[in-house]
Amino acid sequence: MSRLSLLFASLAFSPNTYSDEQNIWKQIREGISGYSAVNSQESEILIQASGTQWLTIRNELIAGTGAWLLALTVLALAVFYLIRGRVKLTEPPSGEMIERWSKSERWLHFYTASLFILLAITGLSLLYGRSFLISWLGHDSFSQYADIAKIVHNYAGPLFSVGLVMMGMIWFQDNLFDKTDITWFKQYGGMIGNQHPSAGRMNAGEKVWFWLLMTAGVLVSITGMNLDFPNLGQYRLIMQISHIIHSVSAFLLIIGALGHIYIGTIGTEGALRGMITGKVDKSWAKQHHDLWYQQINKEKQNFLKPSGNSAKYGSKIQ
Amino acid sequence: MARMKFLCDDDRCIECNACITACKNEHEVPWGVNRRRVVTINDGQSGETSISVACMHCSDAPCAQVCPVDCFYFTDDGVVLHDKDLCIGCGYCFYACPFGAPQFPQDGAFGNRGKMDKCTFCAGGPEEDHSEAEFEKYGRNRLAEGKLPLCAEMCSTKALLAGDGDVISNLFSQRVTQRQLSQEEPDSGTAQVKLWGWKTAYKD
Amino acid sequence: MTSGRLVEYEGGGDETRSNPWLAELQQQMFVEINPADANNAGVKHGEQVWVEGPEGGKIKVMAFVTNRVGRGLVFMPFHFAGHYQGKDLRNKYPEGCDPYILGESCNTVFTYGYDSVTAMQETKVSLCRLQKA
Repeated sequence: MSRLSLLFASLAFSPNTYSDEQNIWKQIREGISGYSAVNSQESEILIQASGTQWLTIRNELIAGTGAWLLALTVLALAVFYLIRGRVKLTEPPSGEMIERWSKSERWLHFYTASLFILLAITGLSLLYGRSFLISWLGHDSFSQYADIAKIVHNYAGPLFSVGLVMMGMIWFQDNLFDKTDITWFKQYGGMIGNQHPSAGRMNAGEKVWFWLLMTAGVLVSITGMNLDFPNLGQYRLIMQISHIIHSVSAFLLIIGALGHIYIGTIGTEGALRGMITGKVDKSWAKQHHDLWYQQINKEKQNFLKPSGNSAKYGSKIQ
Repeated sequence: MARMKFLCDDDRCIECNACITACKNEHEVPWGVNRRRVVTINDGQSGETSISVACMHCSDAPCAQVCPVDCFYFTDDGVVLHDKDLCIGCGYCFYACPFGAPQFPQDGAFGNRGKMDKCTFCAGGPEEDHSEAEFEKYGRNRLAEGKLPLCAEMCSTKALLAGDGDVISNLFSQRVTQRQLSQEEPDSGTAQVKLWGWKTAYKD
Repeated sequence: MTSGRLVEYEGGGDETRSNPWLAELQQQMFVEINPADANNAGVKHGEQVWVEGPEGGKIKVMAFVTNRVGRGLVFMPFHFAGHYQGKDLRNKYPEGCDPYILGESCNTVFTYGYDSVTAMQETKVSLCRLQKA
């Protein structure tokens, strides 16, 4: 009988007014807030329940899975390079150069890329430095490095976001998916096998990388800005969630960037030169971006005619 | 070896905030940094409970596990201390700590945090005991003087106990048994009637 | 309306409000209002309210909505001074003598009068009106 009345009693109480003494410890454990004369952030909460959960997610899930994913990516790229080797030009270089990236595009690319690398190195140092760098550098030197890394990470972050937004604006048009991308995917972008699937100015792989940047990159930026300003007094739960989203998206970006860097440097002949000088060989354009090549050829003919309209696609014949 | 612990008797704490003031006075903690605080649950309602909380010197301290620069260490007495020379002010310990113990003075523009400050169990820091540098960074080292934390020493109702975990938990369980007036309780609830406390005083 | 003490401060509070370790714990003059009364007056916890006394004095203080006081009763601590009817008088203090915390003195709104038996001034009971500032 008393048990039944207890049941009714617990139903009658609203969740905030527990007079039951034993219940109060359960409430405190779940993070109930009260009153405190101390006037600091969340001082009125005795126990925050999410702290240890966040700790487990960060130290085990994110750090553990992240390390494996990074190692596997590097390994996969190495194995791929050994098997497939460099994707070479099928036709000999013609010597005739076409402008692929304008000067501002190249500046923007390397501005964002160098900030990204800086952010990735400093960010990974904060996550893994304790496991790998302290035994090597010692506590004092690592702490000095981490202090600088933290400041660099905090300040480079917003600068990276600016680059990211600008990239989104200038390359948005080129990165909309269309029908040719389906074939491109079916043929693994020509990476596996010897086919040369058609592609416009951006192939489907580049588009995927673009949209990864525009989603994960934007998430990283938003959560990063949040973590950047702890003085605004965000609740710890918000910061914990931000940190988790920030690290997961950052790992996606780092893995994507490793693939991107591989393809853009040792993976494909002539690609890096294209981004550095802005110009690519005619044969390279025909092989990798045939539709784009046809497009600019057409423009070239139009350009030669008096009624031409050349500025439309942002690329000119040199 | 003794393991140092805090224990707050919620039946005795009267929310006088003397522990906070004693701590601030002893260690000359700056405005805005609160190593200890008192939280009152159900303020002004039936079952009002006040608890004084600071760093609880956990045996498996989450702050020590999450710190990117590994600045935490445990003394032989089980006190969790940190090295402010290593701390980079990332705030991770504050996110991980269940008790909200780590405090950060603001330092410079851009919401940058200064070096973390927290309760030291009046045990100073890694610097030489009683040195000026130690006092400036961590406050007084009472443990090295053979004294216990001042917050507990100062507590007017002896609600806050500090010391060897075995000793204070024995003390507390003694108190709890002595406090029970009767084991009988009418149907209304599970709690036992005590010699004093909310239920005895207000009968609700 | 009634008045009383806070553990942090003593008397008129000028000394204790000049002590950073105490002053940090009570940084604002407030009036404790029962949630039901606060609802009727349309004020939320932390907002500023005018407390008007029967003799015309009024003070602007923070509303502290709490069950510590019953319905129909408000409580104010008497340790504060340095504000007068909504005006901050910090500049009137001699240089370096102003306490960390200033606030309205609750006696501004208490009534003139005394207990006829003990001839003590009456600072514990009076009437008031609350208005959202």
